[in-house]
Amino acid sequence: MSNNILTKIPYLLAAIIFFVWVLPQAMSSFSNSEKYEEQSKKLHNMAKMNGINKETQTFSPNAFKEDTKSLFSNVEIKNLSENRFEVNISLNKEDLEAFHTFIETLSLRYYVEIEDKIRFEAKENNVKVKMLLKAY
Amino acid sequence: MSNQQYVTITHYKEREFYFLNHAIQTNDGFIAKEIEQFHESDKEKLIERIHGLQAQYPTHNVISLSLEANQVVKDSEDPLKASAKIFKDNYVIQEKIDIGNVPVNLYFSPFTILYEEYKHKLDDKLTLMIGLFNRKLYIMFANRDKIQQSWTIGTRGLTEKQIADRVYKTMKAYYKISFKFADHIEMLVPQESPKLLKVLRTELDMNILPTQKTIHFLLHSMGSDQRKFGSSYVKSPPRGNVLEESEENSTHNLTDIKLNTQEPTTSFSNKIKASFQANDSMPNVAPTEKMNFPSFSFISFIPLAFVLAAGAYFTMQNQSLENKLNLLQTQSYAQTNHALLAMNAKEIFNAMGKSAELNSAIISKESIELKGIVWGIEPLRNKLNDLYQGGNFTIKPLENFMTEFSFKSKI
Repeated sequence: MSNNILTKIPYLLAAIIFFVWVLPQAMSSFSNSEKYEEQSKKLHNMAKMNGINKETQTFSPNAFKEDTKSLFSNVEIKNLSENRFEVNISLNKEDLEAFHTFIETLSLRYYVEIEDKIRFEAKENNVKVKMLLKAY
Repeated sequence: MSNQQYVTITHYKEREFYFLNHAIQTNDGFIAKEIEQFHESDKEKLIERIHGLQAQYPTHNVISLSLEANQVVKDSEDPLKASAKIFKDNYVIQEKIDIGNVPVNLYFSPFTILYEEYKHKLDDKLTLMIGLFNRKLYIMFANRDKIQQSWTIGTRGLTEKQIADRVYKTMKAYYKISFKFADHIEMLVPQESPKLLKVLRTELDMNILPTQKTIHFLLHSMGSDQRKFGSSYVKSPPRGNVLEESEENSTHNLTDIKLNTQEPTTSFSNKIKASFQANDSMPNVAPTEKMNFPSFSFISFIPLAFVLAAGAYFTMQNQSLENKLNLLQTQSYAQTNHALLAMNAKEIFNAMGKSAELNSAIISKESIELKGIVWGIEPLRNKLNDLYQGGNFTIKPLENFMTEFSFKSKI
């Protein structure tokens, strides 16, 4: 007799766990999956519109220098702390447009954001830009 | 006999030993002496000792008692077999009394002893009585009217859990026959078996209060009162009519099970036998019973395991998606900020036009600070005020008709 009750308890537990845990998790998972697809598509389209064909990559000073050496005169990167970098760019005034476009598409190329502000210093034809980047 | 003092000598065999005891029976009870043990190879010494005890008490009546284990309970007496009446309509039957050469006056059945122990507790409800003697469980379902069913179950080589399983199967088997379940359980053990008791309580889910009495004590009790042993000792059948041991009295005691009013059919007894065989070897339960009992418990856990696995899978997937989603959201947020910064920077540099030159600029999401040289103050001021209302535009004249300007504003 006790065995009958004992064998019913796992079924009951299974039902409770299903409704209290599994079902909400499954629904949340499907919902998040849809949101992820949507956002991912949006960013992908944005990148495509800006001529960026590569997937967004983790920020690397070397990769950044490699990508910007054709755009700007000089790029220096100083590693401040974990995931924070000081970037100093020298460019000609006529390359400012390229710089603006580069800033606009920065987070489509790298998982990085500009911390707080961009400092410009212009002297004659040369512009020096200083900014802090935080990788995520 | 009850008015005289007399001696009861009790003995029984368990495993390879004989156990011997004697007690002085008085009006106020019996006084037992020390228990003596003999290996079966020393049987002659046992017999000699019994004769010695009989000689020791020449003026007293001596009754030798013994425990014969191979019996069944039936509704009627069999004149051709050794039997003892233990209830109104119940008889313990055994094939023959194997006296051997050990002096014995009276034999008692374990069923008899069990009944004597609990008969005062029987009522209209069904009681399951269990006695553990010589590694066998003697089981009776009885109420105050009669003994309904009885079984013996061997326990040699079994663990306590296996023994409890067999008792449970007994109850299930009886339930299949009678559609009745025991209301409570009485258990008689000759020595302490706490582990067996605990397992029985767990498996049967019933409160069992054991009674612990040695076999010698029980036998002395049986011999203490003529009313008790008067009819319930096992009597031999008439001489010459003792049958050869036949298949009827096999160790499969279930063949002798009878319902209250009907004879067992072959299929019925085979069914019971198939579902529950009592012998001393490892349990040989019918496949259906054997399979149902453990596998049913196992199957009931499968849905639970499946649900837990599904829950773990969806939880991990959800966590992974949430991490990716957070990353995308951070990326989107950064993208928006950078677009804003780039737009501001572009507008500021465009605003300089040909009438001003920017020396320094600090551009953030929230504010701008500009410093430079301006030739045409008003165009620049107007452009900047159009872009950023409420900004603070200051000028400082310099030599050679140039003007230094600074502009601060919140975005």
